[in-house]
Amino acid sequence: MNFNKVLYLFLMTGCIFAGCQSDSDSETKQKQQEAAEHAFRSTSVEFTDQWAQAAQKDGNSAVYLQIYNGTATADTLVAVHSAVAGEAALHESFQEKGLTGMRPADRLVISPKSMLALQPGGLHIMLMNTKQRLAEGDSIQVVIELARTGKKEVTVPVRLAN
Amino acid sequence: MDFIKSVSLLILCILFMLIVSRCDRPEVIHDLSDKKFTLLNQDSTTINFPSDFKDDYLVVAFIYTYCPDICNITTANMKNISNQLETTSDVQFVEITFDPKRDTPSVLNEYMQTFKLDEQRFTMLTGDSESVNSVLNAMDIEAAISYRDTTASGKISYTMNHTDRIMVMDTQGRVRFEYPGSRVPPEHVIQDLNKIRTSWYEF
Repeated sequence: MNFNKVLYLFLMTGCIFAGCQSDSDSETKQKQQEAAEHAFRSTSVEFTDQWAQAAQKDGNSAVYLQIYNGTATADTLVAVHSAVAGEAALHESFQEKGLTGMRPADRLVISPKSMLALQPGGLHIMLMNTKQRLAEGDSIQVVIELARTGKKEVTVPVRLAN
Repeated sequence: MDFIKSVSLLILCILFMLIVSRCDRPEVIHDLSDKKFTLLNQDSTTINFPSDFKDDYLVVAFIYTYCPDICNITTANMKNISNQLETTSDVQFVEITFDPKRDTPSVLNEYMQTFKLDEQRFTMLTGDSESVNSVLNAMDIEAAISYRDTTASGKISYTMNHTDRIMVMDTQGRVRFEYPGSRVPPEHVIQDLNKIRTSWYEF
């Protein structure tokens, strides 16, 4: 087998794998885009991309999600609850004067047709004094209380940060 | 005569390379080579830090287990660095707590299991408050209680403001690199770690 044939075979193999990978990436991106578009077309309040940090028993966890207010009126995130924790509250991580920390967050207003993002390093729901270990693969229930919409229960998968 | 010239040129080249490599070596940020901090690991075994890790390169992070956001991100970063290193036989990963009061060895043990940290590669350290504060001070790490509350169940809870840091130490217990722990890309740490793993940088 001469060198040109080997090179051709190598290039073809590379193209096939590149194609497979890009197909997989495209599929994931498409699903994410569809989920986002669905949320933005909605005329109600939607919750997406929710997940919770793993935590040891009697420890603390953080819950992240995106809240889309598809209604024509502002709403306010006023409280959070979860049966897996002794207490739950809105918190915010911050960086100030070279240090990082957390502090309670005030009631959060979500304007009409707007998204509120609770994400790592920023706003999050803090679950305190977990009643059990929250392990990767578990699912927990978190109740989001909005001033106008009322209480909504969200199923949140537990995973390890990456 | 030609032979002497060749040898002289070779010696000059070697000297030049040595000088260049010394100019290029990472500076020592904190020198703990003559220090010994007596701490406890997740199995309640006494560990002298950093001397017990002599001959290993260390990637060191600082966390407390009741911090559910930033510190878990830092731990995830440590895992990513560990997983992406091609060879790890001479590298150990250490996490030191800011909160020795609550982060007892058993709590650290459970944290390791919850976050699936490889016990062959990872060590978590705590100890009495004085010892922990000594090592934090030596490495210029700050931590203080920032918000204290009594929960509805009567339990006291608090959060801490703290330095967000990952450090790379050489085999002699000297900090050579430091980064924002929750935000540094793993490949940056790996690149710098591999720089000092070559013998040129060990003096």
